[in-house]
Formats: sequence, structure tokens, C-alpha cells
Amino acid sequence: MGGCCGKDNDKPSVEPESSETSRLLGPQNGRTPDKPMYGDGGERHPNLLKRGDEQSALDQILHNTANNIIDVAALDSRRMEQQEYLDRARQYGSRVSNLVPNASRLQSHMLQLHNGTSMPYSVLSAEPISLHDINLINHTAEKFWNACEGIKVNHKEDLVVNFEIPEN
Amino acid sequence: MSVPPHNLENVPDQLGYLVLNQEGAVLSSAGDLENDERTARILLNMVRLACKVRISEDKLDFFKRLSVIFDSFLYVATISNHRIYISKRKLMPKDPVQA
Repeated sequence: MGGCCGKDNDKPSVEPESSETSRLLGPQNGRTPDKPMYGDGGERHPNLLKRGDEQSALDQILHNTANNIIDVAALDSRRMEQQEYLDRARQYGSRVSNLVPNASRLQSHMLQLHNGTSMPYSVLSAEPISLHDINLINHTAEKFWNACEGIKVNHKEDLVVNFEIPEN
Repeated sequence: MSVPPHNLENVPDQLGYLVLNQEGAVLSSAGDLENDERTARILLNMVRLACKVRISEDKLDFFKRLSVIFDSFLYVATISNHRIYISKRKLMPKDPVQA
């Protein structure tokens, strides 16, 4: 993949090239936290057993904390090339569209914009709409509104009429 | 994501501008509208609504410019290359708008 830069030769890839489950952040490479530095006075302390318990508890805390830290800068995880990102994005997209077949269609229907003008700058910098036109629109809208308000229903005849059905 | 040069900063009497993609994400912005996602969302909805209005028999015929006019300023929006360009401009009425 992307052999033009020749970078792939530097790093023998441990993981398979491009699977959707390969992680961006690798494991901690078996790094163990450094031994704590504060254990120098342990032997001289009279209550050796108690000190040892305390020490081991502190060690435990330190160890847990060190395990929970992900030092991104220190990890020499495999760098992804741009092409790989695109491939993965396409792959994820196709998976999603397989799972939710209607999603992309619905989305594109919602979001589809026409191509529009080729010169947005000139359209936007043209003179604003004239006051005369604004007034025309306002007056027309007002007239429409008044007309809608004035609609009345006059009762002329029944909509449902009983037919004269002979008795027998 | 890079936006091609649109020259929007040179629109006369402009107070700010926005460039949105189809999903409504702000690609570029400046002035009063800098990172103004709220205004972007509202105008995006207006543009989408305006796109649904048939203005002629030709289905491919769309509005060219959408103006949202206030007393002292206006928003003008247009679509180009599947992007929405919005500019906020000062409005200096020469004679008062009759209500």
C-alpha cells in the first residue's frame, strides 16, 4: 500500500495490513512501570511488617495507575497512510450501508443540494433586493392574509341528502 | 478540509460570512458569523425549505439567492458546488420600508 514513499520498509508490520479490527493504538508493548523510588528507608523502619504492607499497597496503586495510562507519544504504533484512512472510511461506509440499507438513501435525499451558481461571490455581492420589491411582497402577503381571514362558509344546502327510498 | 478561494470577504457592506457543506458543517466563517453554528443551522433549514419550492415547470430551476431581511442588515444565501454561501450585509434603506 502506498509504496511511493517507501516508508513501509522501515516498519515491519506486526498486524495484518488493513483490517477493520486492527487497532490504531497498539498494546503497551509489555512496558512495566519503573520501580518506585521511595523504598530506600524500608529496612531501617522498626515496624517492618506494617511498612511492607503499606509499601505493597502503594506499589499496587502505582502499578494500577501506570497500567491505566496510555502514553500515546511513547507508543511506536504503526502510522497510517492517508490512503489507508480512505480505504477504511470506505470500508466502514459500505458496512454501515449494508446494515442500514435505507440510511444513505434517506440521507442523500435530505441533504441533496443542487449545483447552484458557479459564482457565489457575484451573487452575494449583487445589490440587495430593492425596497420596492420588499414592499410589494409585504403588501401582497398582507392581502393574502386578509383574504384567508375573510373566508366564510355559507351554508346553502345539506351535503348529505337522504334519498327518497320507497318503503316497499 | 480546504475550501477553495471564494472571495467572500470582499462582498460590499459585509458584516460576516459563512460557508457550509451539505450537512451544515461550517467550512469557513468570519466576522459576525464566525463559528456561528446557530445561525448556520437556521439558514440551512431555510435554504433546504426554499429548495423544495418549485418556481417554474422546470424541475431543475432553483432559486438563485435567498434574502432574509431585517431592519438594519440582511442575510443573503446562495448555493454553489453543493456548498451554501451565506453573507451578512449591512442594509442601508434609502426610504423606510412600509409595513
